[in-house]
Amino acid sequence: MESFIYVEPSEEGVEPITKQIGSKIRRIAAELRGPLKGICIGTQLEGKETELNGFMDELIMVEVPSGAETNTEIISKILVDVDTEIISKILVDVAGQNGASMLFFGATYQGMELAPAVGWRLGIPVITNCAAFEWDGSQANVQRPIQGGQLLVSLGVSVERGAVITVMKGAWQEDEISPDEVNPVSITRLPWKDSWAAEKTEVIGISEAGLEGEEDITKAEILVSVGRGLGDPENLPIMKELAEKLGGMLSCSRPVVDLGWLPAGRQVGISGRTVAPVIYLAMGISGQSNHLAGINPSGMIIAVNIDPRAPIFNVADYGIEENILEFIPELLEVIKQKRTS
Amino acid sequence: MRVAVCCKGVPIEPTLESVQVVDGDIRFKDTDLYINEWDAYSLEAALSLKSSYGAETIALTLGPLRAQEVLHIALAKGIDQVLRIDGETSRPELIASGLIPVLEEIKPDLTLVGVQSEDWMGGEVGIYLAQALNVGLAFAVVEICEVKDTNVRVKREIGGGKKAELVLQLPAILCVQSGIQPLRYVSMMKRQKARNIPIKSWGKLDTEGARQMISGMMAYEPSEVSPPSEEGHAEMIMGDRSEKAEKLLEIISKAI
Repeated sequence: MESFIYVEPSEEGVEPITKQIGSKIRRIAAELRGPLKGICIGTQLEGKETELNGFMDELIMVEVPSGAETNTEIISKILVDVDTEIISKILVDVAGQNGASMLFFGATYQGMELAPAVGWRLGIPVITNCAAFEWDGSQANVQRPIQGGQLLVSLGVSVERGAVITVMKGAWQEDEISPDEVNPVSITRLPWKDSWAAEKTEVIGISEAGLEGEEDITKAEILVSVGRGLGDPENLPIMKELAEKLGGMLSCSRPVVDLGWLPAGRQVGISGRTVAPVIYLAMGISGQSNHLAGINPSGMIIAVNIDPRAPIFNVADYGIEENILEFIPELLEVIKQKRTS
Repeated sequence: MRVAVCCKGVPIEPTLESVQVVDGDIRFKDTDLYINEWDAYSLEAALSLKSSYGAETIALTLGPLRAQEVLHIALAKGIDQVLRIDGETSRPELIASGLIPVLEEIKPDLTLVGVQSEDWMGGEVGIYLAQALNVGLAFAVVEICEVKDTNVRVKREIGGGKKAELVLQLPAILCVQSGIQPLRYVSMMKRQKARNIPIKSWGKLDTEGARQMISGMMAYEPSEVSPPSEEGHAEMIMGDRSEKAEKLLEIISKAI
């Protein structure tokens, strides 16, 4: 058995989810999990390898050539970073080499796409969005959310032949490891193979939604974030007023952007921004896992929702069961009274 | 051009009591099914291809008889043909196994699948289909920019507010993200009219055959469905509305 963690590319270095997974899996007996290896595509971690000391035994860095060195059209490193056809071929090749493998991914966009592709090709179980995970002998016991996070399903997974697991951001705690006090991660460089080149898809560009005059929500100390509970875009002014009165900014969950009520630059979650305010006020947001992935680093989460079963209450520090459209005018009134007294 | 769109019927507000673990699967009893939100967006994308390119559109679902409602909605919105594979499973690899033979037979140029389902919340089915059919895949597609004879150009989200533009050879699978097109309201009258159209049945999902074909992938069993643990639940602020607002403001003031 070998265990692999897919080390997702990040401009900042190592994504927290990689360390969260490493922290959990390294505590599993080595005779069960085998060597714990990270795989990263390209050289994004060049010079930052020590960040992974203690979180894994070995880091496999797959060398990605630029343009002329491959038999394909120009493949720049940044395109390979997002070309999941290429990445899944590499992962299947590497993980399928020495018998059974456990593969761990963050439940990110890349992880959501890569995990089922790799699992199908290796013919092993794929369990997505794992929260709880215990590995005991030939079986792993896993819990994952269903029904928008309102319920959890427990699964017994036979791991004798390996399995693919995606892990919800923040579900597993990151250990505090001083890189100097543990054995350094060993580096293996894997040369590029032409058989990994994309055949069916070609990434031709990457773009990022500009702020277009909007505030940068990642810089806010307080975020007033609105969800479907807003009901109607006509209710946006009181949310803006609340954000202003608290000295914060307005953000939102995905449905609010899909409905065209706020621009994409204000979206928090797996497909939007990851935010780390001192206080995150979730107003009328149910708390789907895709949204929770983007608020995990927040200092304090306060949720107001009319539905006491809303999953947001399972992660919030404080909760209020109220219709936001009735509660926020009251809150604004209290703020006004405090200021005048 | 032929476009298939896979639509899942998902339960309306199931309670813990209505969710059961049966024969290594999760079933929903006594609940009506409505169209999975992401598949509703896929339907809109298919209809947009119909109006822009004259595409022939086929909606399919794998589900029990009550999942036909999903196909009635598809018909009411303007999808040309619908068919149902009879079966009931929450396991994504089994759903994919049921869809594969149908897609192999109808040979769509594009197959649209919602990026995930509201009940299982995994997003595996479209990816399994692409692997099994050995075709190109784009995940979290937010725009179908252009369809040519041999390829399709799309924009997909890659997280963190970024998008990638891809060209895929046809045939291809597109996992459609919410918001790709506005969802259009379909009137009760149209829906009622669609309910009079007979739904073609493809036959039964061969669960045992699939279990043998993909036995390695099926090496897991659900054992229990439970509510989330109370541990970690928010401290609820109680009182009348005014008291709650006062307490909330106090918490915010202390934290900043």
